[in-house]
Amino acid sequence: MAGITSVGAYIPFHRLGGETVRSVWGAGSPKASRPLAGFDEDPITMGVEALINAAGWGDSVVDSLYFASTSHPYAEKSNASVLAAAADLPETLFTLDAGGSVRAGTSALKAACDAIEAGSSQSAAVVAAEKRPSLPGSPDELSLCDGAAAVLLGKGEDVAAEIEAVYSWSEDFIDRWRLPGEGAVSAGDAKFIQDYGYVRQSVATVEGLLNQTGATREDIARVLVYAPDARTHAAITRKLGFPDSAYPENPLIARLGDSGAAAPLLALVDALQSAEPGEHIIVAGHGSGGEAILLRATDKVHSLRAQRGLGWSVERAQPIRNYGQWLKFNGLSPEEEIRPFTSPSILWKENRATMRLMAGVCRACGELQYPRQQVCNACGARDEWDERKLGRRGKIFTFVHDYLPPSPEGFITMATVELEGGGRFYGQMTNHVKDDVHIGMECELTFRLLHQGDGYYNYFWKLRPAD
Amino acid sequence: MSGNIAGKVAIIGAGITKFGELFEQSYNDLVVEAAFEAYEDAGVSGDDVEAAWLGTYLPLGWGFDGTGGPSLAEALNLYPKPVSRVANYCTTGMEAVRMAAMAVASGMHDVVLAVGAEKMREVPPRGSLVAQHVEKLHPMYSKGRTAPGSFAVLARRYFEEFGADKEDLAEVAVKNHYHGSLNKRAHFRKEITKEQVLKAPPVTEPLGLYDCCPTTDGAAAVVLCRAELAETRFDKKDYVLIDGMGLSCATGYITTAFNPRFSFIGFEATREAARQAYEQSGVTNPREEIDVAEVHDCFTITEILNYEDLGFVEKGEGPGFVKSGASRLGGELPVNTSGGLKSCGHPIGATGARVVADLTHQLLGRCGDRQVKGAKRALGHTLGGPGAVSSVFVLSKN
Repeated sequence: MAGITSVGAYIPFHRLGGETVRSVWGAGSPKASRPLAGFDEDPITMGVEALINAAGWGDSVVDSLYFASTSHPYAEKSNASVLAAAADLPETLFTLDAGGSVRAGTSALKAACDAIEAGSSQSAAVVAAEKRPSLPGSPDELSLCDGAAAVLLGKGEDVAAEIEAVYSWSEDFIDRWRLPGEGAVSAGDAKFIQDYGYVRQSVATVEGLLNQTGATREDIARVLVYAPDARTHAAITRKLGFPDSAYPENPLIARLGDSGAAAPLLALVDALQSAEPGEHIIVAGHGSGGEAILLRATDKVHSLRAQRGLGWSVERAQPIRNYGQWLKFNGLSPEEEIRPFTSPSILWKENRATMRLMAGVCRACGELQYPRQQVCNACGARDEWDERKLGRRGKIFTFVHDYLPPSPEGFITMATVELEGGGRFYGQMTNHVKDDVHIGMECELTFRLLHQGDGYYNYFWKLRPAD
Repeated sequence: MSGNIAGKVAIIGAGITKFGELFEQSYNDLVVEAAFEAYEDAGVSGDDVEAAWLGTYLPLGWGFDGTGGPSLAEALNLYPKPVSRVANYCTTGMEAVRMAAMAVASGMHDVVLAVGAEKMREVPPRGSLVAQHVEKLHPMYSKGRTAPGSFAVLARRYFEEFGADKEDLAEVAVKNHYHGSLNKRAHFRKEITKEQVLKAPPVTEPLGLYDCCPTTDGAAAVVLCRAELAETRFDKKDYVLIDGMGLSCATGYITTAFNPRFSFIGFEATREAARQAYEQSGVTNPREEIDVAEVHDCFTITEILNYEDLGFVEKGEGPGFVKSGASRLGGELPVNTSGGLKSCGHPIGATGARVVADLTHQLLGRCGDRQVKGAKRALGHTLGGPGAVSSVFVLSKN
């Protein structure tokens, strides 16, 4: 039976605090703390982070990749293929971008599960990531959440949670929507969409699964449902009628906010990392109908606790300095006009080096070079290279805080890092506190949006302080 | 190396424009001014010049001139002679002189001209410092790199390994601004204090504003001839001879910062170029045998590293050398009496030619208040790319 073999999650470290919003707009819950993507993050980079947390650094055997989001950076052009390159997945790969609904995460999970069951995929990755759009001064500003979750699916001994059943249904219903190009989500009548949309439909989704499987409410250890806010979540869970112990004490919607298509998978990853063998879990996605998925934790479920999940990200939360920084992160404050040079043919030619971080090891002299030339810069041998993926971690050898290049932070820190396994990486730092940076500091590579020269996204690796 | 340049080529004329933000002059104006000053000094006319080399680093970076030999031929009416443009990062101007000298030494030409020129201030200074890496160069590896940032990482590492600090760097800035105050062609002619340097806004920490050379317009030219012709054809009693010249590309432009063998406390390119020039000129103890030097102080840290890489002092002793006053006018080995890149300015393609022209003036005793008395042997050094390539000249009075 198909099941989950690994999990990963990523929540951006930045937090927009309620007090910060109040100081500008005079309203907003002072206790609110909204996770938000940095200026160099988007659903693709966050998705890469979650996927690497689930699939590891290289040597992956994933053969199908499903990338769910309502905020895919590219409306036309594969988004999943960027994830595949950055996570160094094999090139023989099926990819699919799933979108159009905050239900896309569970829909992708169902599709991947079916592919495993059908035998067309041996190892599938499902990634759901969102950078949720909101306008300054709107309530959504504090209630939404950016982030990503990833689960790997397979069959056999490695399964940590079997997928026992999936129930799907569809009903055309307008609760929340967004048209192409709009910078915020619109909502219908609050009372109507709560009662007839979120509550009625979620109950129908979960009861549909119970009816299909014959399971009773007492069989289920945990129930994870989607809701756009904590109040609606409470209304749904009341109506669903499971014992209180089945619901998370402090659900993600209350802790972090509404992460859209990523929400059900984030909740699932979080639940699986604390689940005990034998537990049954229901995770439900919502949107013009819904999906409910029944899982059973196997005796391998504890193995999932080793992966980087929500806890790892949340421990690193840092409030942003001020409201202006939030505007900068969202491109709502004009920046100096500067158009970085780039070229699709260069990006394509050098993809293995820039995206997969493949260095060359000279067969003649053993020198590791990144980025490598055709002719070895140590011994002069021509085209005598074996590929080796750069290590992810290393120590700062030297660095500079540079105030000249345009940057939303006002400076860019560049560092040369001596990597574990050989070689050096020289690049921009991110998520760092300027005055904490020092020679010898441990860093790890993280996939980020570098710039938008030529109009398209140019992704590359940056250096982030590591423990 | 099988050949030796020593004694084969004479410098018989030198010209240097005023360096600065020359909004009223065009690229061609600068080239003409430098070249005709060199002609006059040499006692030649354009008709005597058999071939010429133009050094301009980044013609389309901030203007439109200097993209090839015709830029120089057109400005000086050198039609239809062989004229070529060379570029080699910040060694560009010196490379024009080196190519010209090789042409003379080979016997191909008797009299040649080398010009270095860069007109950088047709665009704001930021355009030259930042845009180069952002708007051009590699889509990934270059983004976030700037020229001062590429040297600041050496300062940081040098501080870590030798316990030096920003005060040591400030010594270089104060000295070179003092020298620049005595040079009527320098971009900056004001003395500064150590306190000013230390209080200046950060540019690329740990480098501050006064640790960085300015963005400058300027041109310089030299006329070279076969050594024996200096006296027999041009009636020169005093002229300068090229004793040695070296060039080394020791690391890559982009890959240096990724290279596990790069020390970040000095430049192999400088050491190798100096080795070549010392070998040709027979210099074995540069600190004793060199009387005056112009070295590449694009940033203050660079000058300190240069002292060490050129063999004036051992590694780690650079800060002590400047602090002792040894490299100040009146010291045992005055360095950058022009004010250096720091104060005289750094029009990239012009700099190397300016260094050779300036040292020619020193060796011929023409430098007035900043003259190093009795200077017989001079060293010129440029470094570029950042630190990937270096050129070193050893010159002497005939």
